[in-house]
Formats: sequence, C-alpha cells, structure tokens
Amino acid sequence: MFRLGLEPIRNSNNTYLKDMLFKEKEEVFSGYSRRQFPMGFVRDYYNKDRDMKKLFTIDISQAFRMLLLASTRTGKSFTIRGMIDRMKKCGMSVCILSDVKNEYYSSKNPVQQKFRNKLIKGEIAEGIPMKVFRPTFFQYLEGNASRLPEGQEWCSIDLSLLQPRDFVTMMDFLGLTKIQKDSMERALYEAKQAGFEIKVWDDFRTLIENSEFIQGKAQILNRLYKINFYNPFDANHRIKPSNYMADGYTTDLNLQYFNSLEKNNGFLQVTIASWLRDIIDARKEKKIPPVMFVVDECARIVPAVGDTVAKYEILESIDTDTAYDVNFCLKHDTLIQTNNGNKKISDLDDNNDKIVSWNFKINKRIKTKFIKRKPEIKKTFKIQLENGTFVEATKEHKFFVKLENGSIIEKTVDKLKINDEILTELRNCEKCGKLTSNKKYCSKKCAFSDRNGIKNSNYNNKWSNDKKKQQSEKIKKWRKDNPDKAKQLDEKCRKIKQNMPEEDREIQRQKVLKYFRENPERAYEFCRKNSDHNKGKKFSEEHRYKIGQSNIGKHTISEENKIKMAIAVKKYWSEISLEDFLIRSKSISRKSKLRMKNPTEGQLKVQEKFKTMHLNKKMSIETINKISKSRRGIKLKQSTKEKLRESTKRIFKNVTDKEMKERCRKAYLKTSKSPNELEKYCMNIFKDIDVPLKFVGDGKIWINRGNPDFIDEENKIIVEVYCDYFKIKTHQSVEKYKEKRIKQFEGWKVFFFDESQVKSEYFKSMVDDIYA
Amino acid sequence: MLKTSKIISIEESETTECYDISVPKYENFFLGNGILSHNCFASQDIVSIPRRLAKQCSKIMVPYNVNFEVAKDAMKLAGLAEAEVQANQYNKIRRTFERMEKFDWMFIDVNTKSYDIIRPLAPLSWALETGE
Repeated sequence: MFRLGLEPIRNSNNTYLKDMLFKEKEEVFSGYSRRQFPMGFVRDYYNKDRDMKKLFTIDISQAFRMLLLASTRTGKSFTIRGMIDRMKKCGMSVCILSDVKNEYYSSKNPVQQKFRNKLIKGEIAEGIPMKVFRPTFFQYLEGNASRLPEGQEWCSIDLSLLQPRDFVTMMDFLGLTKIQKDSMERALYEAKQAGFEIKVWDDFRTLIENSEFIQGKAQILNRLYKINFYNPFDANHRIKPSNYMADGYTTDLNLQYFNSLEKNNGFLQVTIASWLRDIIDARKEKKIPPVMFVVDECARIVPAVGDTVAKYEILESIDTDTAYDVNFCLKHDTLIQTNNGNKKISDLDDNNDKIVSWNFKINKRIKTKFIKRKPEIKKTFKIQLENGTFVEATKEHKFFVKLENGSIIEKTVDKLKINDEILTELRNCEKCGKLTSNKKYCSKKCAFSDRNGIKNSNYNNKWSNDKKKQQSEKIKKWRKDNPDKAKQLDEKCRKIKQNMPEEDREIQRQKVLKYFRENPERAYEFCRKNSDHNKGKKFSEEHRYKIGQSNIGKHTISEENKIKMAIAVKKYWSEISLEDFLIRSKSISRKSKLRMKNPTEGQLKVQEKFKTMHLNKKMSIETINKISKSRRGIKLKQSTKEKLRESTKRIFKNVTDKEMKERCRKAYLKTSKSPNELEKYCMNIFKDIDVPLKFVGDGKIWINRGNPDFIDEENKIIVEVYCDYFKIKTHQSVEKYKEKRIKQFEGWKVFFFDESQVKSEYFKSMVDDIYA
Repeated sequence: MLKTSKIISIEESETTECYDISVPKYENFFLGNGILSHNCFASQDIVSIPRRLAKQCSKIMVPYNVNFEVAKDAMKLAGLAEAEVQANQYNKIRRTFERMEKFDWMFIDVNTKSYDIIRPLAPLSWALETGE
C-alpha cells in the first residue's frame, strides 16, 4: 500500500522512511472463517496512519452473548445487519427473534453503493436470502389481514412444542389468579406425566374439564374460548424455523405494530419460546449449523419488573419506560442557535452544524453535535411568553420549568400551565432595554451609541468603494477648509478613545487578536493596506528623527502589532526568491559594516563612554541580564575565550564544595534560561494530569554531572525535553545526545520528547503511557 | 445566564411539518429566541446498564453518543474497574471515549478484560435506511 523509498511522499509534510516502515497496512479481504468473525475497523485516534487500517475480529468458535446498548440513530440495526450477513457467510445460521420494526427483511439486492466503502477491501456485496414470518394472532387481534408485507408468511404456534408453563403464560394474557395458575400448571404437568398429548386446542379444553385440581373451571373455559377466537394455532400456518435454517435461510419473526398489543403478551412470549425450543432441538441433533440469535428492541418485549410470567415474578428487566414512537416536536420554521448563527430547524445539517446547549453541571453554554430525524406532519401548540417570544411545538415536547422552590423540572406541552416559568436565556439591552439573546446590546447601533455617546447616522451603512472614495474626498476638502473645526473634532475623538472603559477596550483587542490569529492572511492584507499609503514615500532625515524621538519611551509594541509584524516579515522572507535573498542579506551586512567603519561623532562618543563607564561598577541584575541578552549569539575570539577560562579558574580556586555547587547552579542558570518555554509548557501539562514529575532542570539535582529536566524519584523516571536544533548543534546528532544522557542516568528510566511531540495533541496520552 | 419567563398563553396552532433534534450528552438545546428546550427524543437515550443482563454477556458494545458514565459502568461490569484505580489509565480511556465520532462503538470484551473502539462494517445486502 505504501511506497518505500528515501524520498518523502509528495504532498505530505515530514513523511520519511521510518514513518513509512511503521505504517499499518490496510487490511485486505482474505475470505471468511468459522473462527474469526470480522466486526469492523479499529479506530486509532492518536495515530492517523493506523486509524481504520486494522480489522477487528472476534472469536466465534465458542458460544457467547453480546449486548448492544444504544439509543436510536446510532447505527445499531446497521451494525447488526452487517453481523447477520457475515455470520451467514462464516457458515453460521441466523435467527432474528424480535424484528419489531420489520427492518431486517433482506433484499436480493446488494448493499447500496454509498455504503460499500465500509466493506473490507475486496469483499463482495451481495443479497442474502431470508424468510420472514409474522405470527397469525396479529391478523386476528388487529382485524386486518392486509398487514402482511410482500414476500412474508404467516406462522402459528405449534402446540406439540409447548410446555405446561407455556399454556399458563398464554392464559396470563387474559388474566388469572395465582391459585388458578398454580392449579393449572399442576394439572398440565400430571397429564404430561401420564402420557396425555395436546395436539389440538380442544385437547386442552377436555384436559381442563376432566381435571380435579383446577379451580374456577368455568372462568378458565370462558377464557380458552376467547383465545381460540384469535386462532393462534392455525394448522395451515404451522412452521418449524429450523427447517428453513437447514435450507440456508435466515429466519425472521416480524413483530411490527407490536405496540398495538398488550405489554405482557402471552402469545408473543410463547411464539418466541416455541421458536427457540425448535431451533435448539435442531441444533442438538446437528441438523443446523451454530446459530446466532438476534433479539432487537428487547426492552419492548421483556416484561417489566414486578410483572409475572406463568406465575414467575420478573426481578430485573431493561428500563421499559420509553416511548416507541418518536416525538416530532418542533415546527419546521423554529430557529435554533448554532455555531453558524440562528438556523431554521429544517435547514440544520447534523453532519456540519453544531447546536448550542446548556451544561447544568458547570453552568455554561456548550456547542455540541446533535441528531436530526426526518419530518412528520403533526398538530402544534403555540406557547406565548411574557418577554414577547413564542414557540410552536407538539404536545409531547418537553420544556424546563422552574418551580417556586428553585428546582427545575421537565414538563410536556400538554401539562404546561399559564404562569409556569420556562427557562430562557434572555437579558435586557443595556442601552434601550429591549430583550436580547445573550448579548449586552440588542443591536450594533445600540452598542455604538452607548459606548461613544454619539449616534452616527452612517453607522452600519454599506457603501460601494466609489462611494467610500467620494466620501473620503469630501472629508479631506472639509478638513482643508475648516482646519480649526477638524482639530476640535480630532480632540473630541481622542477624548472618547481615552475615556473608553478598559473592559471594552480589552474585549475589542481580544476580538481583533482572535480574528488575526484565525485568519493570518487577512492580517497580512490589513497590514499591507495600512502601509500602502506610505509606500514609496521618502521621509527627510529631520522627519525621521522627529518620528524616532516621538516614539522613544512612548510605544511599547502591542501584541497585536507584534503578530502583524511577525506575519509580515515571515511572509516577506517566504516569498522572496533565493537571488533576492542573497542580495538582501548582503546589503544588510554591508550596511552594518559601513556603520561600524564610519561611525558618526555621536556614535564615537557613546563608544568611548561605554569603555569607561562600566569599570569598577556594580551593575544591577537587570542590566546584567540586558547585557547578556545583547551578547547572545556573538562569537568570541579564541584569545578572549582563554582569558575568560583563566579568570573563572581563579575564582573557583579557594571555594568549598557547597559553595561550588551553588555557584555552578547560578552559573548554569546564567548561561541558560531555565525553565525555558518548552519546559514551562511541560510543567503545566504534568500539573494537569497529576503526574509526580518535578522540574529540576535549574540545577537542583545532578546525576553523574548531568542535570535532568524532570524527575520522579519514587518511580526512578527521568523525562528529557529538547529541541532538535540545539541538540544537533551541541551533540552533532540527537541520537548521540540520547546515548550520552542514557549513560549518565544509568539505573533510571529515561524518556525523551522533542518539541513536536510535546506540542502535539497526544502528548498527554504519551505521558500516560509512561505510567501505564 | 439562565433566566425564566412566564407563560402568558397556550393556544392550538396549525398542523404542519415537525422536526426532531436531540443532543446526546446534555439533552437540551437553545432555540433562536433564547428558550431552553429539552431533547426531543431523550427518553430513548440510555441512562444506565441493566446489570444482570450485562453480567450474562461476555461482550458489550456501547455507541459514541452514550454518556461516559454508562460506558464506565459497562467497563466496571467487564472487570475493567482496576483501570479506574490507576488514574492515568482511566484518564486515557476517558480521552479515547471523548474522541469517538459518529457511528463509532466501544467494544468491551469481558473475557480478555479489554476494550477497543471500532467502526462497524456495512452489511453485504441492501441496508434499510431510516424512513424507508
């Protein structure tokens, strides 16, 4: 799959041989086996090269139960369909016991083209044969025989497969007392022991009539008559699912519109039980291959806690307090807050948009993903609120209502009352008092007028470029004609700017910074435009001097300007051609040399001053730092280096060990900035993760003349953080540096992280791995 | 900040096209006019794991949009609770879980006491889509 070679792959940054060698190869389909069942592809969020490349398989040589717990629209049925089709291919037989939505019926057609990228590479899409059956009692209970979909068949319960308990379960459907249930089960059990078989429904009736144990016979016989009315034992539709499974079909029990039945439905339970019994028997006799049972929407089939099935009480069950039908809640033109402004609910795209929700734990707005369903036509209700807003929703939709005691509850629309207090996110505009949604001001106009105290009639006007030019010319003319008035106006503007509250100014600044960080190109354009009007102008020396003097001590370059300058410089040097670069760099060095060769009188005076002013003077730490900063990067001559060496030797001649250590530490701190930015970054991360790694890179701890960056003394772990550039400079290569460090810290576990690794998203997980 | 507003009136309105949206974890969302609405079909979201049922299963799968507490519960049942004690490992699982995307599943194997995040394969035969 991947090209091997020494050159990096085109159109990909920093992809070299080592990366290519360790890349996971994409799995290719190599046939189905009876042992390994392919489930899907493994997600590796931390390594993009390995993500979705490795096939995830499970061992199916032994029986197992799998629990899929998921809400609607999570791809639950889609996943199971994939499993069913492949189980069939692996030589297993499949039985779907509760197809509540009638969604598993298979088509002869292969999977749609859009899903084929989710198959294993080389796997062939094809239709899987399936037999779908629908219990006959649906026909009688609903009184509508036309509900049977095309290609499906009716199926009835085979009496010969029923156990005594099954009969009691069926009677449960019409209600029985506990004594009646017990007595009936005993009668059925003893009849079975005596060899009495129930082949027809009438046999069951005669058994009850002749039994001595059963209590309340008349009532039970009346119920038997009612059950027979539903005709669940229709002899024409008796099937054995195992017969079809032996022929290679997947069997499916269609329970669509099961909601119309009563919850604790005896027929349903007995149908499922008889199917299970038949399939298990067939498997014991090895008539069919191993079987995979699918019980979909089991929350709806399993009885609730406290219910009884054939006199047995259900102790634990799945939460059944869920509605089968989805509530189609909000009117199509309802506006929803998204990351792209307010959008109509009908226009929302759950793949691209994020909607705003409220996190009650931290009391903050959060933008999250959401799930959207297809629309349905429903009756709506209009709810008008005190603040002038309204919402139209169906009666099933819920809103948050605040009670008098301060607690918040959920209420459906049909239970809402007038004067109920609904949670909203509204506040009053600080200027005009109108209601706004989470903003200080209701409009830009209000915001502008409130801050400056002036209402600008042209605010928010959208002019064309020509119009803008005309306007600017007009202003220029007016300024020329009325210089006094223009001065007054400028002063007024200056005052307004000065009086602007710092909070507002900070907000404004942050907004601009954020915008420029996100859009560096726009920042560059902005700088370019601003500098355009001075382009080509040559200022006189006097003018330059004036500008220089006016700027001394006044301007500390703001972060905003720093970013702008950095971007502009980067852009300039990235766009410049090699030839231009050489010429430019030469000219810069020539200029600086010329300045040194032909210094002005002022410069000479300063040089002389510098020669004498530092002699026998104790400088403050600040000035020392300043000087050291200015000297960084300067290459010293060999002679001066030797002089320095001798002087340090002289200093350290008569010093004790403790003092020596302290001096070393101080000297070390002077030569290198510690902790540097990378180390500071790491320290913050270690704090976040609560890892016992302490920073000792400022010379606190020395091991074999080596000072580690971070240390965990308990676990004997050392973490070294470095930049490739400096290590190559000092140690010739990173590997040599690592070898040297490992030798120095013998007996310790040493981990190395370079700058790119530290600043990557996965650094936290890498650190976790150390302790894992 | 959240505030409240009193209801003045509730009237029957027209019968029109209605939509459903649901936020998996927070179960609420803001309408354009600032009203905080509850999830449309939150009742179907999974809140907890049926313990006895899960204990009988050797493999458990939970999807991307399930609450992490539910996933943690599933991992505890699978014997991965030891991981919780080791805080670092637990954090890693949480971070992995938070990265899960649409249609991803967490597969927990009780026998091997391991977990994986997988993207399931598509069916070979025609896949029925919602609404069809």
